[in-house]
Amino acid sequence: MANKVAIIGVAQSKYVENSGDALVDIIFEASAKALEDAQLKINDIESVTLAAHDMVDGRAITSMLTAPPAGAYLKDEIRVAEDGAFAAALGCLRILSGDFSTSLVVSWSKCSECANDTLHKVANLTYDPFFYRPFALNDVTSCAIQAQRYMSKYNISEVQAAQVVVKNRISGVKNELAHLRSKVTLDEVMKSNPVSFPLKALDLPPWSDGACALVLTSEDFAQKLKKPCAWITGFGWVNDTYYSGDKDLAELESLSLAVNQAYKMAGISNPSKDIDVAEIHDITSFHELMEYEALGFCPKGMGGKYLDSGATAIGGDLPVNPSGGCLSSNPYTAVGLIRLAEAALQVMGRAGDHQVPGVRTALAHGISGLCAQSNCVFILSK
Amino acid sequence: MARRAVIVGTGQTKYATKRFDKSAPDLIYEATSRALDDAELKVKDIDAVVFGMAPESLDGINSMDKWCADAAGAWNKPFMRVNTGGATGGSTALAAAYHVTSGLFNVVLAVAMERVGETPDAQRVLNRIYDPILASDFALNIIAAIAMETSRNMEIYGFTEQHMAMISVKNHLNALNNPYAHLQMKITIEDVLKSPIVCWPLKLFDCCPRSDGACAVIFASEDRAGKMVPIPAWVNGMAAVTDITVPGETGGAGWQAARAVWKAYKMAGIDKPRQQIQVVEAYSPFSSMEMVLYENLGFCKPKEVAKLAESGFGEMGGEVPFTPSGGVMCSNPIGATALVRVAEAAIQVMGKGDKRQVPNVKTALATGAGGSPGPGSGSFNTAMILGREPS
Repeated sequence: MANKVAIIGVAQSKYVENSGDALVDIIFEASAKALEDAQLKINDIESVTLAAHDMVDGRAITSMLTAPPAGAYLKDEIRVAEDGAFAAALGCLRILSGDFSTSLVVSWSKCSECANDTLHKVANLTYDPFFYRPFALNDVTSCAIQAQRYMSKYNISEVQAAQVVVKNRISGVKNELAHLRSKVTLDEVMKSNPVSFPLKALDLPPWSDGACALVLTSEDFAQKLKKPCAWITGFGWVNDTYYSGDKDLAELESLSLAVNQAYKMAGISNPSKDIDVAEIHDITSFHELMEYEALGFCPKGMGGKYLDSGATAIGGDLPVNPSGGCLSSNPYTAVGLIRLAEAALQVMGRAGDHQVPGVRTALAHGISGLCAQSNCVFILSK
Repeated sequence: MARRAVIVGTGQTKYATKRFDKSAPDLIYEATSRALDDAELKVKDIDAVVFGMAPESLDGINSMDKWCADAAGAWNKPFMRVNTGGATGGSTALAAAYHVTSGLFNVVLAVAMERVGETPDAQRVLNRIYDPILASDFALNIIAAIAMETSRNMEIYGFTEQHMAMISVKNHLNALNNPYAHLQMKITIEDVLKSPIVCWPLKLFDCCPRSDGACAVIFASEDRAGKMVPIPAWVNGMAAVTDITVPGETGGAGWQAARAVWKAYKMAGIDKPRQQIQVVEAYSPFSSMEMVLYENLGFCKPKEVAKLAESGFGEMGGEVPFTPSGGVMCSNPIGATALVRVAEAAIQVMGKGDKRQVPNVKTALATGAGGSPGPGSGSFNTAMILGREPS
C-alpha cells in the first residue's frame, strides 16, 4: 500500500451472557471509550463505518436507531451487514481514498435478546427456501458437516479439536473482558453434550452481549498525534460460493485467497515465522484448526499436528487467540472486529495479562456467512 | 479523492410488483449481466463486488447477499453487503467508489436488489424500524411518518395537495419513457386528487409502489476509463449524512438531506446548482418529498417550491428535469432504489437515455434517502454527482 492506515483507539465491552443495558447503551459505551482511548473528540471523526445484522438485532433497519449512539449523528456513515472485520476493511478503503482522515468502526450484538434457539433459526433463514432450508441446516449443522469432511479428509481427531477448546478457555481466564472465564479439561469437552456430530457443546462458542469499537486514521493523521498505534500493513477479504456442495468443505479457499492478498500487501512470505500472534475467528474448535492451514501457519492437513506441537498455545511459536477467542466471548456480529482490536492491543503492547511478549506483527481474521463463506484478514505491525 | 472513479456501465431489470418469473439470484444475474454488456466487460474483469439489500424481513431470507453472491459474479472475489435502509443503493455506490478511489481496485461492481413482493405487508415490516419500546406501538410506518412530515412541510414550504399532484403527474408521465419502470400509466391532476387517501395528505397516487427488481453499476478507475467506454460518467462528488430519527427530536425541515448533497456539491465545485446541474435523479418516493428538495438542494429560494412546480421547472423540457426515469414514485425496489438513481444519472451523463434523455447533460445529481423520515429527509442520506468531465 502506498499509504498505511493506523488503529489509534480500541474499546470493548465486558462480554456477558445477559447485559442489563439497552443495546444503544452498549454501543454508546464502546464508541465513547474508543474515542477516549484515541484521545479524540467526536468532532475529530469524519466517517463512521458499522457492522450489524438486522435479524440478529431484531430490527428491520437496525442502524436507524443504533447508528447515532455509535457516533454517526450527522456523520458520513455506511453500515455493512457482515462480520465486524468487513466494516474495518471498508473504513480502511474510505481513509485510503483520501476523502476522510478518520473513521470510527463499530460492531455489536446483543444475543441475549434472542430467545433460546432463535439465532439458529435466523441462520437457517440464511439458506435459500428451495434447496437448502428444508434440510434443517443452520450455523451449527453446517459447521458440523464441514468438520466431518475435514476430519475424514485429513484424519483429524475429535481430541485434537477439543484441545483447541482447552487452549482458548485457558487463555480466556486471563482476559478480564472475556465472557467465559473458566478452564475446561479435555475430558469435560469430550463428554459435553453432543450437538451435531462431531460438535459437542463445548466445541461451540457461547452467545454473548457486547460491542467493539476502533478508531482508524490516515498515516498523516496518526503521525501528527505522536501516540502509540498499530499499523494496518495489509488486508484482504474474499467470498466463496454459497453452495456447500460446490466446494470442498475441508478447504477454506476464500480464507487462503484473502490472506494471500493481505500477506502480499504486507510483504509477508513466511507466515509462521513472520507473524508473532494471531486472533482468528474460531466459530468452532475444528474451524480454528482448518484456519491454521488456510492461513499458511502449517501445511494442508497438518492443523491437528500443529496444535499438538504446542505452537499455538501461549508461550508457543505463534500463539493463537490469547484473548480466549470466540470460544470464550461471542457477540456474534462483532467477533471479527474484536479479533482486530485484540491484535491491535497485542501490537501496541497493551493486552494486559494476556499480552504475548515481543509482538511486532499480528494477524486478525473475521468470518461472514455460513460454512465460513466469506473471510477477511488484517496484518498489523508496530 | 486519491484517484478518480468513473461509471462505465449500468444494468437494470424490469421492475414489477412481483417478479415471480425470477428468483433473487436470477434478478441479480440479470442486472449484473446487463451492466457487464453495457460496459463491454466480462465477469473476470471485475475485481470486487459491493452488494446492496435493505431489511431482510422484506425478503424473508437472512443475509440474502450470501445466496446471491455467485449470481453477482463474486465467487472468489472481495465481496461485502451494505444496508442503510432506503439509502442502501446510494451507500452501495459510495462503498464501490471508495473501493476504486482507495487505489486498491480497478473495476468494481455495485449491485443491489429487493423483492418487496415477498412480503405480504411491507409497512408492517417497516414499523419494526422504530424503537421497540418508545415508538413501535404508535402504528408508525413510513407512510404515516411521511404524512406527518408532509403536513408540516406544506406549512413551512408553502405548497398544497394540488402542487403535489403536479409532481405526481409529471413523474408518471416520465415513467412512460422508461422501459424498466414499474408503473406506466398516464394520470391527471384530478386522478391524483381523487385517488383514495392513504394517510392524509398522501393519496394513493402521491405514493410509490412496492417493487421487485435489481440494479447494477460498474465503477472503474480513471486510468482505465478511456480504454473501456467512449463516454464514462465521472464521480465528481459523493457524500452521506446520517441523522437521528427519534420522532420529535429531528432538526429543521430537510436540512439533513441537504447536508449530504451540499457536501457533494462542494467536492464537485458546485455553488450554483440551478445553473450547473442539468438533471436530477431525486430519491422521492412521495410527491411531497420532491417539492421540498427543490428548495433544499438549492434550486430556488425559500417558499418558492410551489411556483417552481407550477412553472414546470422539473418537467422534461423544463429548466432542470427531475427524475426523467419516473423516479421512485414509479419503481421502488427498496434496497436497489437509490442505486437506480445513480444508474439513471449515469445514463443521462453518458447520453444513453433514449426516450428519457435530457439534452446536453454535463452534470447530474443522484440522491438517496432511507430509514424513517425526519422532516424532509431520512435517517440516511446519500448524494453522488456525476459529470461528463472531471471537475
